[in-house]
Amino acid sequence: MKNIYLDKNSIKLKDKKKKQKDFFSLDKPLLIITVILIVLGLVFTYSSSAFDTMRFFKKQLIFDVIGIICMLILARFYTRLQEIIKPKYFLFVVWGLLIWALFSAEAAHVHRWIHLGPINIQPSEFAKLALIIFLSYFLSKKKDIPLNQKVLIVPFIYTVITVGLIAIGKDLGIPALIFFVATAVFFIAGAKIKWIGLVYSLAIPVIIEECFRHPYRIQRIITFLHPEKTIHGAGYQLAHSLYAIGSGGWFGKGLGASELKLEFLPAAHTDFIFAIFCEEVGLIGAFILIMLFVFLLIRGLIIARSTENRFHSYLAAGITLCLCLQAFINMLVVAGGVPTKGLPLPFFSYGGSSVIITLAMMGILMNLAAQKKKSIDLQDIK
Amino acid sequence: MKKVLSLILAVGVLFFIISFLRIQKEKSGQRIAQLMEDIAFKEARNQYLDYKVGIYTGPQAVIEKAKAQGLVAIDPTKVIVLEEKDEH
Amino acid sequence: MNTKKRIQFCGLVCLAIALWVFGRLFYIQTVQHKEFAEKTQDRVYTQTKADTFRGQILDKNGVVLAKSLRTYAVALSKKNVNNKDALFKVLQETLGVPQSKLNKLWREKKNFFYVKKKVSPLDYEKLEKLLNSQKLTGVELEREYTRLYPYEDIAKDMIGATNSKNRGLSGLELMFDKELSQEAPSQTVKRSRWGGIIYDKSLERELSTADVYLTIDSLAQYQVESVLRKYAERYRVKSAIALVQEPKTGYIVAAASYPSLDGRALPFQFTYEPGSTFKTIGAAAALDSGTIQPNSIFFMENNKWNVNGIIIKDHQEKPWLTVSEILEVSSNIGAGKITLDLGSKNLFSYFKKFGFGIKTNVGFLGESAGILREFSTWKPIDTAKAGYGYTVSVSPIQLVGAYSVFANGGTLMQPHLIDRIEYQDGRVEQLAKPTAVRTVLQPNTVTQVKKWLENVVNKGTGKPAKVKGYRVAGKTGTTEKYNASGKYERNAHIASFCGFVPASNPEWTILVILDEPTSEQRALFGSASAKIFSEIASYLLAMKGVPPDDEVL
Repeated sequence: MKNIYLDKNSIKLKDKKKKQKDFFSLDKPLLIITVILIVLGLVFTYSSSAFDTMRFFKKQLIFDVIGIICMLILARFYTRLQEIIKPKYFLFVVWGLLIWALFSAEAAHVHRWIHLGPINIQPSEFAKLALIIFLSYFLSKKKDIPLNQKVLIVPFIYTVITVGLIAIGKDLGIPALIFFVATAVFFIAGAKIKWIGLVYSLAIPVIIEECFRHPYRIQRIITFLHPEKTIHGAGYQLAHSLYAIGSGGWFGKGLGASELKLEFLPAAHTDFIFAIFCEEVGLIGAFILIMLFVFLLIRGLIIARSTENRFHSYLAAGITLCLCLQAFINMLVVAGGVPTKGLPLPFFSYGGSSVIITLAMMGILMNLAAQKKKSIDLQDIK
Repeated sequence: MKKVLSLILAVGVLFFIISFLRIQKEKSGQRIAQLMEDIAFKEARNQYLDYKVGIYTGPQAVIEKAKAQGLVAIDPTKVIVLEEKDEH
Repeated sequence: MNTKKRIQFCGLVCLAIALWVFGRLFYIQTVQHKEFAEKTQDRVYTQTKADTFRGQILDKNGVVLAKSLRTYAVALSKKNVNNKDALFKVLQETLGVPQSKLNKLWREKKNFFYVKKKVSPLDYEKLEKLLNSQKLTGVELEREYTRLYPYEDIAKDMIGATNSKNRGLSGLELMFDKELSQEAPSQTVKRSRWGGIIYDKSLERELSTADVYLTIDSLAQYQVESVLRKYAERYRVKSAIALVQEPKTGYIVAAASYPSLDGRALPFQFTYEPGSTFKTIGAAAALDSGTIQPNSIFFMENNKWNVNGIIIKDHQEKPWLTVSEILEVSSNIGAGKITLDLGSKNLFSYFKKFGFGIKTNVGFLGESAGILREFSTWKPIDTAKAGYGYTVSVSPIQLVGAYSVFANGGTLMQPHLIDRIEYQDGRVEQLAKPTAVRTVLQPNTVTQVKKWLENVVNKGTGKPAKVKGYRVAGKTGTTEKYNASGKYERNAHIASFCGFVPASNPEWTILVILDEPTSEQRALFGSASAKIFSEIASYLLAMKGVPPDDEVL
């Protein structure tokens, strides 16, 4: 059964590749990295969940197919689409979805999803993309002015609204990520450092206040620091994640050989899939995966640096940083480096919205890569 | 380009198969253990039933039943033994 | 700052985070590797309980006498119980444990306590079904092995007992513990979180228990034990023994003790002065060595015979008795004169030939060797007394072997209790083979002795032993017991009978001993033992379908 699926996938891919060769050439490095990550992601989705059920793998396969289709469409048509759909309206639509999600059923005290029958949509993923596009677009329109505070206020407010809508749903991982990426976009677009600093110094008291208001957040921090002390309660997941990683050693236990995925590690196929990854392929494998994302980072930023207009530049940088930062932060969470957040690992974690948005982002990136006709040095901005 | 992508896919399939085999091993292992458990239990149950049958068909039970039906111990002179004789 | 430079800067920040990730992973997977690998081990792997498998003990034909069955011990863990009342109802219904008892235990125990052990698989199945359908928690089930005896107490004295760990404590269970049992050490198994064990080839274990087959016939054993018990209770004996041997092969067909205690097999362990049953031995020895003739007669000294100052008494009327008559009426004086004439040296050598004074090595723990002092220590009175069963102490198995010599034509056969051991790999270790130890008597002697013994049953004290339609040969015996203070107790006796049937072609030698029977005069003359012999013989003859050999029917 699985072979049929895979063959369908590879047939589709081969067909598309033929078309691609005829129509346009995709950016090779990006394509290779994408395909490698998709394939690895699927293998590990299977490996981390197949003992219990094939359901996740099958669904992830479908999501990947849909995502690849989106990716190819966007790779070909993004810039033209962009001219039709104003970023602002896309963002508003997403806000609508976010509000809708707030009224949806809870899952583990978090309002993340919109449930439409068999389909679950995670609007926060869309928000990621929408805000980056919006900010890149908006800021690129302000020409040649060292961006002063007046100019910054509007996009800042949009950022806060977006982040806030997600954060109200008590999901903290993605808002934090979006906030960091937005900061990066602001920075790249020329915001003065002192304004960024101001924002962060104002944000910290807010965060601390939020923490103390909800005691379980302090709990989370304690759990994070000493997961083994609460191993039978809140610390269970993190402790076992560490066990998984640690017991893998340098070379891992071998593909499919993870022991802790035998019902021991919760969310083994979603947020914590990296733990299973490390358990199975060890430090070596983890190194390779990190390098893959590093290559992605470098490639994406090269594209950002060498693209013709500022919008594309900010967009490329924003997308690249979003993907890579998300990956690294997820890894840090799994490794116990930062307190747990609900961040999926791009390409790997099971989840339709994550897969589709990730592949969409890759598609946009490929499109932007194809746009560079000539290198134009961007003007210095003070 | 095609070559590179096919290579990646091939490696991916290989990885998948390795994972698949290992996971199947674990799954079968679980199933086997479950079956062995069932078998052991059924064995135990059968042996217990045999034991019970042994008691009910044992000399004690049979003799009681025979006595209850009025049968008595046999007079050895009254026993007739039929034996097969060889044809030659 | 240049946009390009800004982009670069962001890139570097991101790289720094990547480095942080790698560093953290490196730490965990190197420094903490061993610790976490161990902890994973603890979580994922568990130890199964060590187990002991045990083989069976069976009779000659494969009828199972002792068998280990898997049973269950049911226990409660108070803190995990979710519905106490429903649970108690279920327990009462399936296990038969009254709720009052459950309540009592619940009050007394802190958390964990056993409800019932040795629960059969059938009850366990019922219990499990109900627990699952009503979703009751808090019950913990442990597996155990219980040694079960399909025929209850049969041969319990020989088989012995086992402990809760399925190891032998006494009797054959102890003697063959090594062959019967197989230690199954606990194994490390992988399991998923919610319990399912994952099987691995390395866990495979071969069964290496062996089954022990005895020469005993379980039906015969059952019958012998029943009859013995009946009479033992009637005469309120201190103990009783019945022993059945095949004279042609030496195999023990049945061996019963009363009372039957684990591992205390009286047929092999009991020591006693045999009394009148020994008169046959002395007479046979004298005949075989030529000291007496078949038609020799002896003077009865008016029933008071003085041997160096010690008076031996008799209770009968005739002044002169033939050898046959001596045995028929069981005359002590007659027997004493026969052995005195034979002489201590010759008598002693015949005793040794018959196998007295040493263990027969039938294969049972704690077998008695009897007591046979060197003839040089015998005074004449001892030689005389040896003629009617004092001075010497024997074990039942020795005596029955001696009578088998008469039954099979003059050969002492090696007695066997264990027939064979069958191993799981198909190997069969045949331990019992008809083995002659030595020739004791000449054929002519044996023919004559048999005639004498038939006379005892037809004309003498052995009449109760007769089985209608068959020729029976045997001898009664009464012994006064020698008590601890060195004196013979007046009223404590051992009444015995030893004989074989059918006399024309003996199939079984049977010995019956009653230790301290109370009441009636009859018992004191070994008649009760003879009666028991008759019942046992009758049953065996019918069981095997032996054709009658007595012309007088």
